[in-house]
Amino acid sequence: MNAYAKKLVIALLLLALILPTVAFAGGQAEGKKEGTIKYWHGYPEYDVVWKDIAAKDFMAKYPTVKVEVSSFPLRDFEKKLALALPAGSGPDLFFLSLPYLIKYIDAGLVDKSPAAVMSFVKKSFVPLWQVRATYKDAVWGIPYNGELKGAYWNVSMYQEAGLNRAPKNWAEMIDFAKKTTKYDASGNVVRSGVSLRLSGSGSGIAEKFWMWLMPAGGTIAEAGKQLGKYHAGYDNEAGRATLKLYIDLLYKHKVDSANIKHDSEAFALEQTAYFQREAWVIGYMKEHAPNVKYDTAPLPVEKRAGGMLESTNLNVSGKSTIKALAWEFALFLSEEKYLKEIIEKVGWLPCRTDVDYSDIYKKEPRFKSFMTIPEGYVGEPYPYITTSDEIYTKLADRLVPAYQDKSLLDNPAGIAKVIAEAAKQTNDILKEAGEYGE
Amino acid sequence: MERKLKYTKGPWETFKTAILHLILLMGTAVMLLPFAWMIFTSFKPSEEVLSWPPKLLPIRWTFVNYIGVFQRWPFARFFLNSLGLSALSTFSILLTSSLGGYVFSKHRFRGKELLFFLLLATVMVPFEVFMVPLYLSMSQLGMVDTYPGIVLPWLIMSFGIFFMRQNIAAIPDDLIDAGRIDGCSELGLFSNVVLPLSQSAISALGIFAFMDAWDAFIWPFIITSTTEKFVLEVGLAMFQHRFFVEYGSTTAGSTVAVLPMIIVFLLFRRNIIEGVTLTGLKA
Repeated sequence: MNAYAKKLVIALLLLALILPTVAFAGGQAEGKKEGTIKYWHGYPEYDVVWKDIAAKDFMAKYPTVKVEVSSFPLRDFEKKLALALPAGSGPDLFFLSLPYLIKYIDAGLVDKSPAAVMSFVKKSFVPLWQVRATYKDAVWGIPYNGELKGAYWNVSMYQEAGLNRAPKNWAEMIDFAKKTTKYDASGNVVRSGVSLRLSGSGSGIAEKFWMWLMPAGGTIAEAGKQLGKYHAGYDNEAGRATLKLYIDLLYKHKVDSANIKHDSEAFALEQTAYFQREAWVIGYMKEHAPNVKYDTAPLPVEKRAGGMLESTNLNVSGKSTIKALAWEFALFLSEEKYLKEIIEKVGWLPCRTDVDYSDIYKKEPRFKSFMTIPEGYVGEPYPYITTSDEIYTKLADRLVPAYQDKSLLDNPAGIAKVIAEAAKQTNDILKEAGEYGE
Repeated sequence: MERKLKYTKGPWETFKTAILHLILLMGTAVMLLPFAWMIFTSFKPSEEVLSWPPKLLPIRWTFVNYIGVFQRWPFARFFLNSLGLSALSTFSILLTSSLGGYVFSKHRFRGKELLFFLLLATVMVPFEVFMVPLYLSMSQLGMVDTYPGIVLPWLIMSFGIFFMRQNIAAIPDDLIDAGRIDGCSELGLFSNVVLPLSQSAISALGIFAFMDAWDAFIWPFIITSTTEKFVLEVGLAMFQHRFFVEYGSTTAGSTVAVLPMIIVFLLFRRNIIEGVTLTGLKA
């Protein structure tokens, strides 16, 4: 072989080596998705969609990817996450709302949303929901489920009393409650006209008090001038009016009683004509009390239309080794198909606003009260503080004996004292944690 | 000819006995009512569970809750996990407690009292106090979400060592000395003298250890994340949703979970009572 031929052969051999390498590198740059995504959440009822449908679809789309969806009871899930995330043995993707996520963000344990996710959030959610995933001017996670608080009213009981709609304000609510309450021969309430949360877990009692407090113009922890600082927002006319409402409903109008069932169970057993809750009750009623005739409505207004508004978001762990894949699965779960499956099968409501839910409303019009944000609605997020659980629990510790105190009836000074002492305790808790600000 | 003395109760004695039995029966009914409620509720459809006024017996008996429990979650797997954890834990605790109890009661060595005191001190520390550092240690060892990670904290029981020490201390030293004089090894003394004389205590400890491991929740919950590794108690918690409880499924799962305990107690109740009583009398 002459020199030229030798050079040609060598050149061709080199080309034969280089070309496949370049082609292969190009193929790698496109990304072969593989790995195991661990997704944790605190709502076992969602597994019927996330685990049984969405995870399987994702694995079918990417056969080299495994998705492990693990669910736990919510409070236990929060404890488990608190251990696992800092230890680095936690999930890649987890479901948690921003107020509970902040401590992890501050500890550097959460991945900030990448550009594709940020633009999805801006495109798919109204600002009221975008804010629920925004902290320190950055977007963390994808808002997923969130809804307005609403009211449930028993249509049969209301028709019996000559009523054909839900109350729109407190005065109507009291009047309708008086007309739909039933008593036994001794004058004891056997069917309440409105079901209040008078006992139970601390955060639940405080939350239900908050649901009445918001339309009255108050809130539990009001944001201060400085970011991340709060003070008690109920040591005012709104707080006193709300406690007065409870006392009047129990002892003046006698439309509820501590001695009967409350909440969703009471509504399912037709032991109450009206109560306030989230949309999950619709699924609950379908299973436990399918024959009860009821409807839903916005919360009655006192000073303003408003209520707590918080979303639970999909978040990626800062210690995950497959962040891009975890974000892709988060976006996959946010597709319209799975959001609608969740509404139909689970009853929790998504907050994505660029989806047409009219087919859902046709099947179940009662969801509309929880998904339509009225004009001028004041949606209060849960405060971004580490002491919220302590504040709600301690407030509940004061509210429960207050609800049982008949001497507060027509006693503005007594009511003001209860509210003032509770608010002082709230402020002390915030001060101790360095989260107080006027 | 022997005359048999026949003791006959007077009317007052009979009346007192009857009253005592009545009180005990009432107490039994109060203790058994929650169990009965749980079992009957497990056979009720969901619309009957919340009926008012509540009824003890189902109107329409159904197995749908039991079917649901096994279909929606790998409940049989949870059962096997609990059985495996409990069996391994019981065996290990019996072995380590009887050996440790023998050493502490029949041997003299420097620092024995201090060691025993430290052992007793650990009994007084609640698990919740050290579960976080334990979790971090497991995480560093790569044992999170593994079967060894679940079972390790359940292999030794400080109280078990104390319990066996108290029981073995009651065995006369002369027996041990006689064995030594005859040339028996320490292991031989342990297996041929100590163990046969400690059967009641071993049975009682075995039952306590089994029940303790069977009822475990917090540690298996925080160390596992894969559903297939859950134990029964963790699996039962899955029926608690955020705002309501699936009473039908929870009671069905609880009935399944409690059956082995009832069977074990019915089979070994004499041993439990004997072991606790003997140890109490001789302590």
